[in-house]
Amino acid sequence: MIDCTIVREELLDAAPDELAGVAPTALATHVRDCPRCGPLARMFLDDQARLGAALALVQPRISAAAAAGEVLGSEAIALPLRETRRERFVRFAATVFPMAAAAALAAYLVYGDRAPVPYSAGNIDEPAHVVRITAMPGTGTIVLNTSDPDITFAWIGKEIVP
Amino acid sequence: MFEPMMQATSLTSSDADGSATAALVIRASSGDPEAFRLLVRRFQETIFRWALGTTGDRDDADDVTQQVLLKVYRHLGALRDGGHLRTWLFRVTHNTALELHRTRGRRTAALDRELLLTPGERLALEPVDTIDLDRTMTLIQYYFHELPDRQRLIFDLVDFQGFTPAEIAEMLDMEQVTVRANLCKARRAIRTRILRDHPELVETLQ
Repeated sequence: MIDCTIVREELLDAAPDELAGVAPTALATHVRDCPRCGPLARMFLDDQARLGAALALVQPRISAAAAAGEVLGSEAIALPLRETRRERFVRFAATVFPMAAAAALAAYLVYGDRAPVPYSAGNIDEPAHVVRITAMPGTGTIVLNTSDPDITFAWIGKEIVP
Repeated sequence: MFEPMMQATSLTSSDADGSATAALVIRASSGDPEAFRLLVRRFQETIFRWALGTTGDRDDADDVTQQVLLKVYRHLGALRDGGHLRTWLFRVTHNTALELHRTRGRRTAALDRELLLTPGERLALEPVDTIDLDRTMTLIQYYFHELPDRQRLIFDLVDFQGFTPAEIAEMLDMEQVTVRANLCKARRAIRTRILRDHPELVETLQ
């Protein structure tokens, strides 16, 4: 037989099915049989049930239909439904792929019958620019002047030993 | 057998009900407004209850519910891929409620007995008797005013809504042992408060 004083302590944080005496535990068995602990457990259950019933009575003030209508109304103008990544890709592909195919076809029709231009040295309009090193080695700096006055390379680094 | 006040399984995505919900999500995300209305009808009360558990304020719970429904609508495309709708909904509700809580601060006045339950709702409780009603209202005030938020939420989810500690651990992203510890503390606090209204029973145990 369990001591009722101990049971009282255990009842304070027992699960509801133990309070109801239906759990397969020693505590539940004691609650079911004890004339002192049984009423206490039932009182806990009853008061908790009333609390639960009261909380269940607290309902949203706006009906489900009105709540849905409010969302649908505000979103119909402001936002389209968000697409998934796959849907976005399908929409992108459906737009871009036909355009790309059409552009390729057009390019083929316009340029497709022209013979390729063979490579020869004569294709190059100007001779390659001459590059000269103007700074002396050993100063840590190299300035490379090219024959093009607009292009100059400068290299700054460690001391250079040729 | 003890029955929770609400059935947590109504939100489980693995059962038949969950399949119906998934079908509604797909239809709604394709632009079917009727499907969205059905989704709202299915989840509004649950979202509200969760929001009430976190905010402890009826008006705030209404605002949170509406914000969450808007988020549901905006994320239908992502939700149609399946997954844990219940967990997603709970987290969104919880975070939205916490955010609102931070912004507005806690409004305790709204939990006065006259404001929490309308006269009609109190009448629905009254058939028991006036003393019981009075006791219940006192308990409600204690429940919302003095019980720590986390304990109240976990107690509500387990003892009234029928979730298991494992499910709550996932929903709140915490260890199961923490959930159980909070649950025990909440039960103990509530029952200790109940005992204060029943001195005759306490005496029989001494």
